[in-house]
Amino acid sequence: MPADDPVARLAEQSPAYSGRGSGDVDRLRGTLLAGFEASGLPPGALPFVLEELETGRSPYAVAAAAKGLRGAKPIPQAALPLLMQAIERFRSSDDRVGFDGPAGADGRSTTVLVELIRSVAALGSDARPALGALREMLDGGPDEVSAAVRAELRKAIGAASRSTAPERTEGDACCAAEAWAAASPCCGGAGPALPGVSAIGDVAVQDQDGAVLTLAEALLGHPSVLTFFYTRCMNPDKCSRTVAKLARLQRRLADHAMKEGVNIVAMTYDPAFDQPARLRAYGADRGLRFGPRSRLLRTTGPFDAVRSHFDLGVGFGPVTVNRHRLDLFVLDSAGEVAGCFERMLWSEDAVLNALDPLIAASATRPGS
Amino acid sequence: MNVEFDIPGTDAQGRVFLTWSPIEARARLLQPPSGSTSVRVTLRNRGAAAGGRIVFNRVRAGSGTPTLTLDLPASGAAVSFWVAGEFQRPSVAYGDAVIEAVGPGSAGALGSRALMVRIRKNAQTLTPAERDRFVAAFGTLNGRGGGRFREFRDMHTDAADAEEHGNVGFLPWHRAYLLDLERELQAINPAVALPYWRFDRPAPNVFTRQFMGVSNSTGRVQFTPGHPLESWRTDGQPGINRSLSFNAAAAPAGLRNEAQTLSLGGPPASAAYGPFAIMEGNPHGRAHTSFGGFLRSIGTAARDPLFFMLHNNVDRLWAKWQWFNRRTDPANSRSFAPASPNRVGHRLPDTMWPWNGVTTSPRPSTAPGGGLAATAMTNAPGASPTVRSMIDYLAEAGGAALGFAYDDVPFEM
Amino acid sequence: MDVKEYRKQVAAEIAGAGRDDRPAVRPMADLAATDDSDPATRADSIAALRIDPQNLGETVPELLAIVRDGAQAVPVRMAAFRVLAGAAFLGPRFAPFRADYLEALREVSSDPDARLRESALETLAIEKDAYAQNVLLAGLKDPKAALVPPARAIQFLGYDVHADVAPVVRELFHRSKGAVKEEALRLLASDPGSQKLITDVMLDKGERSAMRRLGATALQNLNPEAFERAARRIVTDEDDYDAIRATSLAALAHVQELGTAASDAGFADAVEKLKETTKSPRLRSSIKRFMSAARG
Repeated sequence: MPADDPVARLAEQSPAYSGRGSGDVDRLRGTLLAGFEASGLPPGALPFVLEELETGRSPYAVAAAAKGLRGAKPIPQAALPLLMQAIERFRSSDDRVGFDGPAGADGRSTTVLVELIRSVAALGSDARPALGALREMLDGGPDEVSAAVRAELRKAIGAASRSTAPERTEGDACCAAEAWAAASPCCGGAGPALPGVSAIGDVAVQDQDGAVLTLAEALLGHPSVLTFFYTRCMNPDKCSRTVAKLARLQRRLADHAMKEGVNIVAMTYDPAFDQPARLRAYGADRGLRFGPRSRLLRTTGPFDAVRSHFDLGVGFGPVTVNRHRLDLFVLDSAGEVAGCFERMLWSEDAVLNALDPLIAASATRPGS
Repeated sequence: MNVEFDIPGTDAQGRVFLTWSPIEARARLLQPPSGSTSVRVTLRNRGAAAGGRIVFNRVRAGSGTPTLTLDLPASGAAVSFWVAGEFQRPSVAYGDAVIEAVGPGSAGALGSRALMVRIRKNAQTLTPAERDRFVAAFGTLNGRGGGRFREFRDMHTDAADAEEHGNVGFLPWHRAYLLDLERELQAINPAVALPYWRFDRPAPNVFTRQFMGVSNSTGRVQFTPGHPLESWRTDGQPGINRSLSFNAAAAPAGLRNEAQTLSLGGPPASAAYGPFAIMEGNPHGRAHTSFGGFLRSIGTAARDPLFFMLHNNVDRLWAKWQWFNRRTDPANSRSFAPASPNRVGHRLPDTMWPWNGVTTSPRPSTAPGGGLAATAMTNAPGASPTVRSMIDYLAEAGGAALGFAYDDVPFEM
Repeated sequence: MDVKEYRKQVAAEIAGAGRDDRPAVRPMADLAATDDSDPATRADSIAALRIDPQNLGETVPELLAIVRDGAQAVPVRMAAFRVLAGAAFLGPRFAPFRADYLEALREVSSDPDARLRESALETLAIEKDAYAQNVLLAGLKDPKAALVPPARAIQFLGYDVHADVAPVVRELFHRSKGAVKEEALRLLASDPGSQKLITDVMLDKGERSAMRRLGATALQNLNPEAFERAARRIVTDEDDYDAIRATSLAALAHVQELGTAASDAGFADAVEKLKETTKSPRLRSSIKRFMSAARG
């Protein structure tokens, strides 16, 4: 993709964001996303929009995503539950944002809730499944929502109630994952063309107890779930939730009597700060039980090799990560990538499904 | 001949802690004299003069006497009696309250049991030893950023706002939160009870370098060298940001005082929780914004240890209101109010996040800290408390109490 | 004490204080009247306002107007600000007003009055507000543009470890002293790129003792292993001050107590030897604690 392709510029690892603070990154990416409202939303940008709606915490970036979504023709109905989730998330933390005028000098003439509800309204009758929730919010009275938000709610309810557009049949309603699957190379376990782990197998890593080993030692010989996080992540739906879900995954695997057969590994993006004691505390707080197959790891040297090997969606500011997407890989016993989950929240079931054939293969392999 | 006591709630080290809430204990004779069917024994206080005092009763009651006479059968069968801390006579140290059994005539002391009447006190009135053991335990819980305090910090964030604030569950949620923290402190030092900062009165003893620290001109809290909170760390950062908008020798301005707060719900005959709970704004919110720094915002307030003393006073005000207006029965509609809107986590039968471990919407997506800390003292409220379980904290209606009490809020049936 | 007597006593206190029957909302025209000669009285009236969950809709917009109104006396605006900040503690109840509240603070952050600016910027910085971070950073880069003193600006920016401030603060650290230098060091305590700078402060015998202690805390926060190395160096340096040697040894004892210390028999011997030679009571007490922890 050419460098000035706006979709390429949305990638977290883009050099445009290197060395910047998170606020800057949110503003730059938000400006791109908001611009799609007028220019039309390219299919490749849809995952970025849906990601903001699902887990975004920056009022500016989420409002921008809501605007960008309105540039999609048509707006996928699958965005509706994500819009409603975002509304719930910002219900107590609405804030003013502005997209007019030059960046940084604009008046903040709208709010994140207003933009989200406008996008619900833009769905027209496709927003019908949300009518109940919208009415409930409006009926909550002035104690619950601001006057500006009430006005948008009325419009959205009006738009959703109209029956001019043909109603979609039930078969059209699909999950959010399906909406972005088309635009993503590796949804739900279909492996992309990423090289196996053995190429970076000699990278030295340290676990939560201080033990030093190589990545190959941590990951080869058994199927693995490998994901990434850092303890200073401020988005509770990203790293904190990832590690908590990893712990649940671990418990479910144990119930299947598979716990000895699968590596559960999460690596920090921020190895200089995430010293072993921090890793240990972070995992323990979220219910992870450590063992030879279940570790939190930091590279003892720079993280660059791991980042570029997996083409991780992460950028770095002057002190720590400035932005990252969710990245989770399912690896076979030889460290080959058998599935990956990126950007959107993954479900434990989907990861277990991707692991199933690998566990079966590993169990029948002699000597394993 | 000896008298043996069996007091429920005794911990693994044989320690006993009482509040104002009576518990049923038993006494029995060991090696009784031959020939008699029973021995008349008197239970009495034998603690330090300034220590905790105990009251006894044959039945569960709102009052008791400093001595109690029991006829203990020579068969060794146990006789039950009720024991509680004497209101406004709490302990200052473990073992300064003692139950002694004396026999008839010259038989003398037949048995004794040292214990503690462990009560949450006004921070302004703590002895240096009480103060020091509290800050030492708090420092250990924080563990220079590596201790279990992290979980408490993670429980009180913007992401969990709707579980905790702006609704009728505000008071019960914070009651459970403080109890969880206090039990963790007691696991470090069992003689600790969480003190409260009475924000409507001057508290010069609180804002000292020996206790909660003194703020410098840039709003950083300073302690004496070696103070356990000197190494306080939260969110990967050292230190505490706090500046006072009031003179440390005076009380903050603009707060409803205690009497005004207690009268919020109406006169005792009709006092109702709904109007009382508006104290969440004033004095609670106003107490927070008497400071600059961490305390000023929901998302950072729990990074300052003073937060827990501030909230303990909020909880005490509720407890005092409950007692004064007799609103400890959850079945009484005036003891609590319907959630507005009908939000989960704020209704009587609801379990509370994060102790319930629920992470599906509308609850936050992670539940830090696991279940509520257990204690040998009582099995209430269990690992996953409900809103209802927070109401009758002294178990005035019977059953198990939560194991804490305030120095100015009595047990009364 | 007899509980019945006590109840009478509390009842008398409550009756004596009187019910809080002040009006829920005083006429704002009265409160905000700029021709009133006594701003202190008006500020008191605002502080005494009954802002309760049920009447936010009536009072919050009026209070926001007072905070924004540059024609009002500063104490009056500060009083309104504080009442609003207290109401913000109502979380979901305050939600309908939050966007306007934050916007009012952004407006006030460039007010001619320093106290208002500082309070507004602190509140916004705690919310990790991008606008506030930008103006605070601009002020650090160009003192003429500064809205708050540099020490406070650094402290406020420290509320967001994801803000782009470490390079500027590192530079400020090197050319400042006093409170600015101290706040800079605190902020850099979470910046792995500043490990050497922090270690240097901790080891610098020419540095103030409070700064060296802060450096020790910062290094321990950033990299426990590097801290242990530096602390051992201080403890065994006979030319260093006893106070910092005692503090360092106490911190090492804490690590020993946690059971996470790297084993170093040579160091334990050196501490044993120090016990024989030192006369400092503080150092002796740290030695005692360390030896008891090391012996486990």
